[in-house]
Amino acid sequence: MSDSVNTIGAEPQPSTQEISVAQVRAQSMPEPQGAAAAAKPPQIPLAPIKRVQARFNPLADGMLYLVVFLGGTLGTAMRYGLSFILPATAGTEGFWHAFHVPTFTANMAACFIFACLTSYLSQAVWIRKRVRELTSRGIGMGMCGGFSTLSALAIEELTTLQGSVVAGAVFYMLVSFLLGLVVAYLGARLGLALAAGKTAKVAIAAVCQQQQNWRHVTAGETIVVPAAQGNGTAASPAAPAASPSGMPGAPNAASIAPDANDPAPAATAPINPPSYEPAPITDEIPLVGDPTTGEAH
Amino acid sequence: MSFLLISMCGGLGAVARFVLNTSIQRWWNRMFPLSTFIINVIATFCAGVAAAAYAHQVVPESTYLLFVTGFLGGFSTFSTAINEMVSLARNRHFAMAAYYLVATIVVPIICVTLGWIVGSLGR
Repeated sequence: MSDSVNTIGAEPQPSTQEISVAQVRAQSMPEPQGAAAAAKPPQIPLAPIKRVQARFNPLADGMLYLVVFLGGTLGTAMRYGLSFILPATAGTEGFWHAFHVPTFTANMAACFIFACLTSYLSQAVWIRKRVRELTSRGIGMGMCGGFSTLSALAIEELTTLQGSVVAGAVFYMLVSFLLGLVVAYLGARLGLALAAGKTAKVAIAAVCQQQQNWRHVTAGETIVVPAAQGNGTAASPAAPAASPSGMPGAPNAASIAPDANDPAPAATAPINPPSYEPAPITDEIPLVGDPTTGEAH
Repeated sequence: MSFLLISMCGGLGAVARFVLNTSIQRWWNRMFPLSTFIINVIATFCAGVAAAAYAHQVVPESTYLLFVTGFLGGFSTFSTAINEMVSLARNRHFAMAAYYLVATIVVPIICVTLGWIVGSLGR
């Protein structure tokens, strides 16, 4: 009795059809073998011709230079323009004189925009990768980087400390950093929330579109798609007999020809039956898609 | 016209930061965001030198604006540093985030003071 209990209890993983994502990932990641299994595997340098290609080297990508330059120009113009429309310091004398409003405003706004943008773009798989890269470089690195500044902050600190208003300088510095952290955190949360909402919309739209494309075919019905066959002899006599429910001109639909009179049934494209099993784990393609980033590892 | 020139200097600073950032990230693979830190160190040191030169009437105000507000403003970055701290903290590297925060608060002050001293050497 106790043996049987032990056998049941000893089974660590009950055999189920479900395979967890972690299990798939662990099994599909091949163990490094040979020289690659060493503690410090040898590095294979990029081929010289590839080092100057924009795909492999961001420094060879002229478009990135352009968007970063334009973004930096815009950001600097915004920061310099803020110094005209805002008072230079929060007070004329003493403690609040150390608080430089334009620099502070620019830094906080840049932190928020940067955090929001980067967190949104990290989830936005529905945007093309190149567009995401250019936006991230141009607006994130260029504009937000040019908008915010640490050198002006340091100079303002230095001049305040030389005026021996230590409390004001420390207050300005701490408020800049702490509020910047809070604002950046809120921006990141906002970006993630926006991306989650958009992801749900995209998923719903995809499911709706898939449901519209499903076709119901009753038995004995003949649906011939002329474009899929390629030879007009088989398609043309059957084309007027296309069913009212089926779309005769749909080029993307797989050809379904259950009719026994069809002259070339073997030539029709095979229809994959709906699969209820998980995709097989193969050694040939050790790639697992990451649904959050859209990349394959 | 000077507004446009200052803005374009900011663009040049951003491009310089892009080049330096990419070059450093190519060989640095630790967790500490070294590229942004080095960029900010260089920028604050140069800002100290420029502030000293401007205060001692070595350079005119237009040059100072062009270099500090334009180029160094576009070169140094506050938002990237803050966001690196936030992402470090979000990935539960709290110690590293705090370390980086303290370094980013303290080191620029030291650098700008050093730059000021270097810029005031000739006086």
